[in-house]
Amino acid sequence: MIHLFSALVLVLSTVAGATAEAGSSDDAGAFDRLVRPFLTRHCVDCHFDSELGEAGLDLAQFETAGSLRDHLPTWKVVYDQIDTYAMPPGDEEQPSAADRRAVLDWIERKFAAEGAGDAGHRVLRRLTRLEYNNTVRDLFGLSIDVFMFPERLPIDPQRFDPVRDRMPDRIEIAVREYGQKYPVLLRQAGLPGDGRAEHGFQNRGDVMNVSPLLLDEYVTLAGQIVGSPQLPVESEAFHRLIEPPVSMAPAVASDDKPIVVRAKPEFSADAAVTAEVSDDSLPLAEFRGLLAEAVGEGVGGVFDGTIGDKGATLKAGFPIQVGFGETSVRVVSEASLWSAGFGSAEEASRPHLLTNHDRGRKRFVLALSVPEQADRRITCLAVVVPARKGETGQTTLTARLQSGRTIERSHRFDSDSGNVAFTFRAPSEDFVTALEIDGSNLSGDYVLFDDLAFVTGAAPPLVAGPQVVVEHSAGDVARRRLAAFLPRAFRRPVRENEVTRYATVFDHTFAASGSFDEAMRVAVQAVLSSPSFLFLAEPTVADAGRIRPLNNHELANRLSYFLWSSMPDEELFRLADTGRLREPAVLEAQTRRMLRDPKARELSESFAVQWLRLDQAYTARPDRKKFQVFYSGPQGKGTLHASMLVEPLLLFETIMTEDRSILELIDADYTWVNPRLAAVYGFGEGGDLLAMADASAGESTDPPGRELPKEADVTEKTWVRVPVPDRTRGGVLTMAGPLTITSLPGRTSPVKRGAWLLETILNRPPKEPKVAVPPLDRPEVDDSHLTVRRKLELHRADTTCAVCHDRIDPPGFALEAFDAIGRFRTTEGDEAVDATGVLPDGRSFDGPAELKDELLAQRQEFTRAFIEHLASYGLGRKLDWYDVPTIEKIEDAVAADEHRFSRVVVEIVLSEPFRTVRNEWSQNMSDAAVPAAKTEE
Amino acid sequence: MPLQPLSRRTFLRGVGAFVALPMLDAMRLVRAFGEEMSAAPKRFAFIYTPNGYHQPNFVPAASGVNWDLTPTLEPLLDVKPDITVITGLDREFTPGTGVHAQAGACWLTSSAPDEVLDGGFPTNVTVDQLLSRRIGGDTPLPSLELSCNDHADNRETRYFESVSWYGPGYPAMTEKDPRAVFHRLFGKSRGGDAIGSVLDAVLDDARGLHARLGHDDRTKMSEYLDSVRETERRIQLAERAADRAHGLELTVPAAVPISRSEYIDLMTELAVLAFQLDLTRVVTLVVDPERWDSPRMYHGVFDAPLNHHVLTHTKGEEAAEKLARIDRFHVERFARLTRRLKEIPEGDGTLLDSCFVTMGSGISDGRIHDYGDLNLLVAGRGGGLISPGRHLDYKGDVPLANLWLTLLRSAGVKVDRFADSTDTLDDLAL
Repeated sequence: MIHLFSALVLVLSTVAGATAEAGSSDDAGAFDRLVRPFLTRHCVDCHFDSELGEAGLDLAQFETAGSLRDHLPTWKVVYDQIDTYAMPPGDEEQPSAADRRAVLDWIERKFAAEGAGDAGHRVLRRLTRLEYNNTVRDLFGLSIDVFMFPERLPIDPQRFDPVRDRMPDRIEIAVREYGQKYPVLLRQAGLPGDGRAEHGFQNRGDVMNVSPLLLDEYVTLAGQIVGSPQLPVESEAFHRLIEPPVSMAPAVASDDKPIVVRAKPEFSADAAVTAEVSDDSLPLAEFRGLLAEAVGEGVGGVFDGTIGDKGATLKAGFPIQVGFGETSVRVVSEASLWSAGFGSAEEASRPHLLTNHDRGRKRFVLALSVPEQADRRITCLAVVVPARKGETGQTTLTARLQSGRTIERSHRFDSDSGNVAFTFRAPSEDFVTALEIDGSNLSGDYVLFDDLAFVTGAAPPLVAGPQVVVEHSAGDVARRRLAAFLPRAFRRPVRENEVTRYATVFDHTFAASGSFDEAMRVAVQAVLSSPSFLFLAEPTVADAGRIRPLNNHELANRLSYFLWSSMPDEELFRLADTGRLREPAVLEAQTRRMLRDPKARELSESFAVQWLRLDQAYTARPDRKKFQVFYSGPQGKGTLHASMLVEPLLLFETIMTEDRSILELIDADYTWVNPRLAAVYGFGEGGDLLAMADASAGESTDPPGRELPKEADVTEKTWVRVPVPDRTRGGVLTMAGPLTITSLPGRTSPVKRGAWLLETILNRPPKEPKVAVPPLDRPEVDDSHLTVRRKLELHRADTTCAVCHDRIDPPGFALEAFDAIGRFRTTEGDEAVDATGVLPDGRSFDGPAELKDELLAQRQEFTRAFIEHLASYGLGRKLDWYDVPTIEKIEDAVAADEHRFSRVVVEIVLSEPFRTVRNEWSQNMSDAAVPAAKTEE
Repeated sequence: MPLQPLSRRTFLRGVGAFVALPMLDAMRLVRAFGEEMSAAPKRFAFIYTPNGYHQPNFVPAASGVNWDLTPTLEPLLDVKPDITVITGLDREFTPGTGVHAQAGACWLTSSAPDEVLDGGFPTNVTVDQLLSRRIGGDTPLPSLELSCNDHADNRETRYFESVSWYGPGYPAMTEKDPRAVFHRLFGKSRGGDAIGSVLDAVLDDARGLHARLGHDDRTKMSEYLDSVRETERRIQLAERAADRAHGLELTVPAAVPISRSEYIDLMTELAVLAFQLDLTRVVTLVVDPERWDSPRMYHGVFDAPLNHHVLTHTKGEEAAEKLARIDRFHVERFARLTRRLKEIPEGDGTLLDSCFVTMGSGISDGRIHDYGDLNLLVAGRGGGLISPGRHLDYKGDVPLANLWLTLLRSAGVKVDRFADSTDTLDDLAL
């Protein structure tokens, strides 16, 4: 009787409460009317005590709304349990849908009130292995990875081109064999991997540690990077950092047998030279006279840049001997050179001229000597720098002299410049030992030169050794370069004392070795080993309150590590330097710009891969006898692993590139297949992609005349976007990849599939099984004739198991329509597949299409889950109760914008938690230990 | 099944020759470095195998001195007098996290089951790390953490593969590459000659940053600071270690061997070398991680890759037989390690005398994830800590922590309790 009465009161009060609550701030009243009775009725029978109660939960203690304040994390658990229908258990009385919703709404409001503006518990984190690689790559402007690591997918990155806004209908995608080598800076180097967080990502600070072993790895790897002979070649930035100041560079020596070229007598005709850059002491006309005289005596001549008829590549350090008759000059270039004709330039003398071979390597030194005659030296030198069509900027030539002195000449090319002749004359008793060519300020990638003309003279009295004349000390030069390098390496402005710290490393090493580049390499090694490089720190700021906004540089870092898994680029730096990045309009514009950058493929290769657990794709080992189609080629080495990885990635990338609805991740009317996957799916006749593509072309709104793949061209690399024949396919749930990852080698596992779905698609993962789970296969019962499903149903008869399995199994059952490699099936063994199921909230379905219907009917659940996953990845932390309102807000904005992918990203970036940080400033941080904390803004 | 001899290709060239030369007596070496040692130092190794053992084939029927080798333990035939079989010790499962994760992560933890310090896990300073802090100080490496988990995927979290923890939520990082282990033992710092000034700079940077961080961030930065200090200390000790290996012709091992047995044997061989040259006194080795449902090839044992964890939950004789073969395979590796330690003379006996080398799992029956009645194999005497040749059956209700407490006390660590220990095991030594 009493029971009945209270139920009646509850119903009445709920109705009243729900309407009154909308506009009222009286949460205490609503708690008394609504929540407390709910707890009393549905919860506290079991959860009545923190020791004796189920799950150690005491919900009886909450007698007033205020009493929740110190227990909000507990209430997040309560919230999730009610929200996912995990509680109350299925065999207990269930609250009405309205009551459930009203209580959830009340808890959400409570979270919003208590957690307003909380930036969240974000723990200092270091770069992941992927981020480390990318940061070093971008810091030095490399086009290859630093080392090989498993997170780098063996799939050609060219496939991802977000600059366009529509994916092509067909893409050729090359795939490396897993583990196969590919070009990197350091083949033997690497870092240990990062573990992933429970139900989370690898970039979570709270699960990352540094140990002596890891530190050792960092210091060692940094040493390998700076010591790489390849790095200065691949990286202009690094080259400029470590190259000795001009007057300190050693002459290039070489023992290789030289290429001999015959000198020409004539320097470029006056008509072909429109300007000259010369010293008063040696105008071009006078040089011509000297040259003619020297040619006559066989002690001078012109190297016209031509080697052979068809041009040639000269390897760095390879000597060229220019013969004049009596004597010869040896030219050794520090960089590889090309001897070639240029359509866009007028050669000083045909047919060829010289230029840098490596694209962008526009600064290098030519060592010049007279090797065979001890009594002759180069006294005068001239060279033509041809103008190149459309190219502008300054070229600087510097002649280095034996004394250590230099003669520097520059010319600024503009659009109507012609060829320019440079002349140099060494002072008496000195001579030319090298010519530095510096076209690094030119707009193009190549610096051209032609007609190197030499005049040799009698050797002057011996000059006592090379005298190093340095205008600035090596330490000053190093310091200046480090001051420019550190803000990029640390991705923020640096203080004077920080520059000193690394300049000191240079000084110590330079004092010991006397080698500029060696000392600079060690300084850079220290920079790459330091916490300012390795960690993404957001330090506390005095008097900034409990929560502070991120400064512009911190924001640039969060943004670039979120979208690119790498450091900010020049544009982000500039906006941070000028303090504009924090403006919401700028921030949104930058976010959208970054999504259109090829580097955004990390969202697919890192986020999507971790989210969908595709990093497990390669570990699947389907039984070779049962699933022969999985294996092909000699010894079955050609597996379907890569294809199963590519399909979901292409869907994700299509949604990114075309800015489509994220709901297509669970249900799309198209998918991407190659011939092998099409065969697994039974698409077309025997996997005839062309038929599929034709069909797709018919439905497409594309302009007609689109080029279709020709049958002969279609290989395993060929991926075609096709419409799915029916809703059995479409979306990641029904793709071979996820279906295989969640299977055992010999059979499906509805439990694994169900758990995968709860964790990835709904982000409400089931709990780990409790200890002493009765085994699925009971030796005492002969159940070998039963389907997996039937066995599971027996298992669920146990109520302790049913609590979780009621949630886990139904989606797994729907997916029983697919076998262990994702082929559609209607029977398992001799029994028909039963793909029906009932969700905890009572909705039922039959088969994958209807499961997708149910997921779409409750689309806010998937939307929320996707936002939560991506936000957790973007924030590098676990989400908690205080994030509930933020996620809700984003959910609304995303729903209002047709669930567009970019809207999700933009809203996360613009959200409070992304732009702020907890700023716990306590007394025990002594003022003395803190350098000027307000570093910026 | 006959024992497979180690492939020489994968091995350290010179190890064989080294073994044949008894003049390299670790005791004498230790004295040469000015330490007053009255006895050989105690050495401890903890070897973890996952997913429990197939009980019927593992546990001897009789306890005490007169016990017979079971099918799984048969490979121990020639070292039986050096082995102690321990059964019937218990741990308690802490609800809230996975049974497999906790089995490995908390096997050696000093935390009582009701003490949840790490998001639901009772991880805390593990027994090997407590030992290392007491007895590892003067060796170049306070402890060595090894693993043969070469799964390239991130299927499971670190709880499944870490048995050694510096503190709550702070696992020791394990070395999986034999070549890297070798460099750690014998190489100079790989950071280059200027490592000193590099470390000065980064320490300075870390201190500057540390002072400006909030509380939780400071904890993380402290890990970095401690790592720098530890590295500096190790560099000082490394030269001494280099001297110790002087005259040995050691060749860097190749990469991870493909064969499972060669991989495990190579790792244990490196541990033997480290003990022999007193480079470290505490070693942990994770033979395989808990659960981790990625199929694994056991070369020479099975023709096709299989999944240890799934087998424990598969019914029937066939699965049981396969499980027993995996157990026996691991016992073979353990037997080989025991023989190696016994071959090396030290003082008046052998290296094995000063060693306490144990192999075990965090659960007994993998089928039901049983945290009770745990099985351990122990090789050696631990410098008088244990009298081998017996099967000690504690019949349940004696905490595993009692064994760990006994170890700690024997090494001179002053602790009253360890995790949920109730007492020491006083019958280890006769």
